[in-house]
Amino acid sequence: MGPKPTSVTNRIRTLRVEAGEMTQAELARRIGVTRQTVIAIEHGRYSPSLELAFQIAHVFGRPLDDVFQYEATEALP
Amino acid sequence: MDDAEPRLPDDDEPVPMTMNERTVWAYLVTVIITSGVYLTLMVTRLAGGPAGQIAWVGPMLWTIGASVVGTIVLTIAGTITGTISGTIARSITSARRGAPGEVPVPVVEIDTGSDARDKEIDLIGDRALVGVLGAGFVGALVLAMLDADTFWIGNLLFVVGTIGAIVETTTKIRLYRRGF
Repeated sequence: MGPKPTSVTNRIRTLRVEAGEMTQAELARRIGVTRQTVIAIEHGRYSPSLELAFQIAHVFGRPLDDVFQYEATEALP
Repeated sequence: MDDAEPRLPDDDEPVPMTMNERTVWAYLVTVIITSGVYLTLMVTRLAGGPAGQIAWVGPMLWTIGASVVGTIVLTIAGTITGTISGTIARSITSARRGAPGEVPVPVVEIDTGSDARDKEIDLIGDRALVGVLGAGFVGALVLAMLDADTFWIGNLLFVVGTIGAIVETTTKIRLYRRGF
């Protein structure tokens, strides 16, 4: 697999484990997307929309920045 | 015997293509084949006489029809093949996990049809298509201004449509495979 095309990282895998080994398919079902989309998000191959990101955070009962992190490549002015 | 309740797949189970991605692949393969046949036919006919005498409307309509039907048929065939191979792979996995002879619980793979990621990929692919079609539109306009034969105008638009379809589908496949 090549470099991740997004600077957004996430802790979904960890949070799924903490949520009783929730499967990718179960998370996909709860947020209304395909398992392939959950896999793409987890692997950093797709940055979800803000709404979808909030839905994922809601499933785990965590604030958004507990689930997603942004790796800035350079300092903002 | 009670019918087992279908379950969602585990993380380590095979991940099939979504219906959207499968359709994109089917469209790409069909367009390459049908357009390839049509353009070969036209080039052969061009070698045998002037463009103005070549019958191209009928073959082009057949080609477009075949592209539509071919995409549908290939998508259905791909879905059936994917389902069968997925079932076989799951049966093998189930047997390896130490449950020989046990009937595997049916797995239901939720495909929402077109989810948020599919829609974003569609949008980006469509944008790539519009860029190609725009160039073709200008080309056709120039040919019309030069009073070119309708063969050249019609076939320029066809070639542009084919290139556009290939650009659109390869863009989408790249996004599905490499991410964005």
